[in-house]
Amino acid sequence: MTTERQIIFLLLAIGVTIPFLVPMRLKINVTPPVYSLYRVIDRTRPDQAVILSFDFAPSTAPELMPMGAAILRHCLARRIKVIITSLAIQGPGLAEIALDEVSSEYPQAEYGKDYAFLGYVPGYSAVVLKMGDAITKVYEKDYYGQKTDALAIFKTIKNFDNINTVVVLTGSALYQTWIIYGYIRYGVKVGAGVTAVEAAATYPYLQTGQLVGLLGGLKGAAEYETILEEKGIYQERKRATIGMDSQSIAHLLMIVLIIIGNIIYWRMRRR
Amino acid sequence: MRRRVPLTIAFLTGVVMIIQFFIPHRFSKDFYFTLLDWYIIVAAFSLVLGVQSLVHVHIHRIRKRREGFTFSIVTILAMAITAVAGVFFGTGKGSFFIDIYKFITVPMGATMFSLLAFFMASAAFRAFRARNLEATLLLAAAVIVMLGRVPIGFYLFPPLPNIVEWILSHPSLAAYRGIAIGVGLGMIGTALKIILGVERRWLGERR
Repeated sequence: MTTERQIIFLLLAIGVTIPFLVPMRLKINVTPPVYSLYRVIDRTRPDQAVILSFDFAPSTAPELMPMGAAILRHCLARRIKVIITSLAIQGPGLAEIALDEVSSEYPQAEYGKDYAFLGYVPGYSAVVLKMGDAITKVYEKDYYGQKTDALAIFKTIKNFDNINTVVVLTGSALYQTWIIYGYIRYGVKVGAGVTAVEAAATYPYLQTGQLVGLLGGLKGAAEYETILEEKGIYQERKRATIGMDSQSIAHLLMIVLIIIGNIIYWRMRRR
Repeated sequence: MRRRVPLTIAFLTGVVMIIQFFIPHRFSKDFYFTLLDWYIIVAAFSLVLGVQSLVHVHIHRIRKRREGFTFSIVTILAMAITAVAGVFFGTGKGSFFIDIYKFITVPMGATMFSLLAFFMASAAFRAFRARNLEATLLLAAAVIVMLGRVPIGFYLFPPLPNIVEWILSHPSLAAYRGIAIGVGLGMIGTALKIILGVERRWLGERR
């Protein structure tokens, strides 16, 4: 049993490593929920902003960070105002990593005017509800300790009336908090980026329009990156797209293992 | 007295908040936002409780020398070092506190989650069996979704991603909606039981 396990682990390790050394460059098809989120964000008016909420912890970062980076690239490249928040205590650290990476690529985007980073305030639903009244009342200071009232972006962006859409990145059901208290109470549009495991559970909200778009797992992030590439926002392959080659091999290997396991099972049953 | 006071507070708060929802007057709105401020402050205290609970559990484990108590020592040390770094040397950009987070917490968290793939591969080989019709249907759906959610599935059979979208937005959605409605009704029931004092486990009572 141990040898069998070791062989499986070794095969998987080789399978996920090789595509990083020899890229397969498989074409990524874009699904409607991802394109829908792109379209909603892209139609943000100059007097509106997008809220990007990093509501996740490092354990789900490999899937969700590329989504955050892709949406940030989209916003900063198109000069769409973006406000970064977090309902999860570990979220701001991850948001900072993504922001540092992306903001250096777009020096024309100005902090405080084009984007703001508000950090974390405890309280989940209470935070969302209060943001519907006044964002700067919940976040009196930004992540860097500056008074939010003094930031140019908040001269026009006051509450959810000025928000085109909230994009929630989460590995849990926190997107429901934004739907229940943001969309249902204030009517603000909500889109979600969730882990592949959580994706199936979000489809009921997508069908009712309570979610305007959805990025599911690393594939969702890769699809968003593909759209940005097609729209000419950047040319080179980014993190999620590169990772999809490895994920393809991993999934294929698991399917092969399931088939082999079942062949062995059926042969043993016949005996 | 120890029970009546919190039960009365819970009852009054619950009833007042329900009534407040239907009163659009400015006074009602101000009252609501004041309560939200209180909620945010109380929520901040839950972090303190979390730390206290973590320390209590691990100190107890170390004292009793339970199996794996060395990991508890590592946990307590890691928490103490991070807290000292944050409290005495700041949490700003480039601080030691942020470095701990960026270079230790983030990679370790990502590694733990990534290891799941190895255990899933092993479990898929040993446990995913077409034993009967239901298991076979589940197996077929899983294989289609796994293959359709990666580019190689699209490469091998282009309509596959659309089939996956159909599975997720029809049969899977129907099942999830049923669960969601059940959970929603359960939440309303529990909330009413707390407001009316029927459910008292939040007071520390066993039943």
